[in-house]
Amino acid sequence: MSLIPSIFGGRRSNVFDPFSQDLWDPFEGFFTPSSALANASTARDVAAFTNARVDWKETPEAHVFKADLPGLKKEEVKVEVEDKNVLQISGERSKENEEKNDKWHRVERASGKFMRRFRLPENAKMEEVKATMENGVLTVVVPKAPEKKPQVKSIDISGAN
Amino acid sequence: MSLIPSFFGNNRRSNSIFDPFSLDVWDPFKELQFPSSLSGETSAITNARVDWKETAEAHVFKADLPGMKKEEVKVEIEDDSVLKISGERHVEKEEKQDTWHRVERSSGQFSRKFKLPENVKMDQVKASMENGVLTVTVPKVEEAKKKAQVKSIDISG
Repeated sequence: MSLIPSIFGGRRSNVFDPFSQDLWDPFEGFFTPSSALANASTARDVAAFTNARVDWKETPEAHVFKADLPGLKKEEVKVEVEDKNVLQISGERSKENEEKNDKWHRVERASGKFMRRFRLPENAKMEEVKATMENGVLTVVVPKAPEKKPQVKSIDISGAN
Repeated sequence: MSLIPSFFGNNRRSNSIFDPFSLDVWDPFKELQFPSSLSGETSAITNARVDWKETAEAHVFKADLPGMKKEEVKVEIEDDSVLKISGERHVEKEEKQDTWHRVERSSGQFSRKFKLPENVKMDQVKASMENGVLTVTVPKVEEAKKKAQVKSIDISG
C-alpha cells in the first residue's frame, strides 16, 4: 500500500473534530457519507467526553502522537491497540474536591473522561508502540515497517553495433 | 467542545471558555466584563485555561499548561494587587519530510492577569508545577472577628 505523498505546506488544523475515530485513507481530506455512517455510533459517545487535543505527525520512521493531558498522571491514562491497526487513547481527569464554603471566580479547565481513536496504515508496527508522559503531555510512537524497495534489474540493450 | 458540567449551581459557575479579556477584575459587577486596555494585545496571545477558587483561607489558581516546565512560566505581582501568569510554549520543530495528520494543540505566548481583593497577603504567594498544571496560592488576611456586642435589655413591665 503506497503512502500519501508529503505535500509541501500540508499542515492542517482541524480544531473541532466531530468524530473520535480518525480514519487514515487516501481521501483523508474528504468527508464521505460512508465515513459518517461508520462513525455515527462513536459520534454520539463523543458528546459525553471531554476532548483531548492531539497532534499526529508522520515521520519517515514512525507515527508520532502527542496529546495534551494536563494534570493527569500516567496511571490515569490508557494507551491501547485494537484490531491490530487502531490506536486508542483514553482516561479520566478526576474532578477537584469542592468544599461548600469555596467560592469560584473562574472555571475554565475541563474535566471528565476522554477518548480518542486513530486508525493507522498497514505499515505501522503496532506491536512496538511506546508511550511516555512528561509535563502533562503524552507521547506515543508507532514505528513504521521499512518499505520494500522494488527490485530493479538492468536489462542490456542489444543493438546492431 | 464540551461544556463544563455544573453540579453545584450555586457555588460553581460555568464561565465562558473563550475569555476575550485577559484582565479579570474582581468587583461586585463581576459578570459585567468591560473591554480593558489590554484587549488589543489579547488577540495575539494563546489563552491558558485557569480555575480561580476562593477558600476560607486563600485564593487558589490552577492553570493548565501542558508540556511546559516551571522555568518556562512566570508568576508575577503587579501594583501589589494584580496577579500575572505568563509564559511561552515552544513550537515543535518541523521537518520537511514530516506529514501532519492532525494538528490540534496550541502553542505560543500566553498571559493572564487577575486583580485580587485587598484582603490577601501578596507577599506570601506560592506557586508549584506538577503534571503540566500550575498551582498558585495566595493566602488571605485573617479577618478580625469583631463580634457584635450584644447587650441584653431588661423588659420592664
